[in-house]
Amino acid sequence: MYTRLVRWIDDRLMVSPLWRDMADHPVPAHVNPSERVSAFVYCFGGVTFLLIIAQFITGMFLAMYYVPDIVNSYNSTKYLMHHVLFGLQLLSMHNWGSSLIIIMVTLHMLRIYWMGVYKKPRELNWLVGVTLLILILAFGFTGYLLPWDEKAYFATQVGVSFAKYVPFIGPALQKILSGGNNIGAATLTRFFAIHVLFLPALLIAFLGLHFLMIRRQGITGPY
Amino acid sequence: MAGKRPQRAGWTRRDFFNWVLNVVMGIIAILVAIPALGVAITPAFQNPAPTWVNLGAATGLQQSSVQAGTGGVGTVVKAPYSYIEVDHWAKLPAADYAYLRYIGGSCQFFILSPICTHLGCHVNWIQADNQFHCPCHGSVYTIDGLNVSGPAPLPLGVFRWKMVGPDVWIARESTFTHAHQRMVEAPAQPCLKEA
Repeated sequence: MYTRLVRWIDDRLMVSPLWRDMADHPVPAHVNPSERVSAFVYCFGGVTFLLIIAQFITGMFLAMYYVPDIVNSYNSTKYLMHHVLFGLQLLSMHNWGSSLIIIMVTLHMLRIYWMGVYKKPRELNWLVGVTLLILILAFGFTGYLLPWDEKAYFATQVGVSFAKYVPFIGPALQKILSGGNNIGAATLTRFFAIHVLFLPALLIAFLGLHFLMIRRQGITGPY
Repeated sequence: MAGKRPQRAGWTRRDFFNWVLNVVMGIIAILVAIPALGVAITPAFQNPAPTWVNLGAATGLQQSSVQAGTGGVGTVVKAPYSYIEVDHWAKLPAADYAYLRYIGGSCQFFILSPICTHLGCHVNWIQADNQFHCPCHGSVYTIDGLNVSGPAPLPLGVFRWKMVGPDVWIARESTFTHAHQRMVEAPAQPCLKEA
């Protein structure tokens, strides 16, 4: 049944070769943890990607209950935690997942740095990678405000205040970030839009570039 | 590396690793899917309790119904009420009205929902015809809320009610008509007074 379905699709679109090209793509022995356990350091980037997929899925379902509005965001989050089946678990997965991503992406960057992977010919991919790191940190910063509790409010107050120390444009930048003179309704909608619309679009685009460049240039080593 | 795969000679190392990979990925997928689906299907298992709202003093309601009727028999009057609507996480001040009639006896009040059972418009009480007319698609109900003409599939809903001190309180349900729903063959004036 399954093979017949695959054959039916392949007769029309020939997708199997594309998939086989990805799934059967050989990796060198030095990056294969089943050959040498220490090669697990090459998995940090892949683990980050898996966690990002999990964040996408949990985030989409969280959005079924979340309202980006100063009157209802706290109440809707509380409702999700206490009155929705597995709501607390889903929220916790998204919450813990964000911390795990930042840990994994930092480890990934440290491996790239220590192994000197950023050197020619991979400078462009290093730049894309640093952009991805900034995007992920922005995800964490904007997502932190969304429950609109005390911790979220004051963490954002502090974070946005950093912006005013930027030379010349600082005060304007702070106002643009918070959508007004202080943290309020406009900040919440702004952060929500950035968190669920702008950043995911940018993240997908840059992840695509990241993976295309890896396929083009291959994996570094062995050392 | 299509074409270079080893011949299927039983359980190879590659097969084993593929199997392990698939199982681990499957477990991760299930762990993500369980809470995600749980959140999505929660509404199917939720049955919110009714909101009890105050219609006002029973003596006043009785008086206005009897005054609107003839010969000491009460007729239908609008009984407006306001309340705090609890919609999941949102709490909003809201207002609506019920159609109340003093029927005497042990049941005292017969309180109808104004929501047409066809598509949810508010029906109008037409005193001259002794009927409720729906302005949207012309459904007609008797004074007891029984559907006699037009597209309405069911009689008007009846509010359960109770006395709290001197006041009449009605149970605003989370159903389509906000009241106890009746079948077509339901009694004309079910007494839904609660002790």
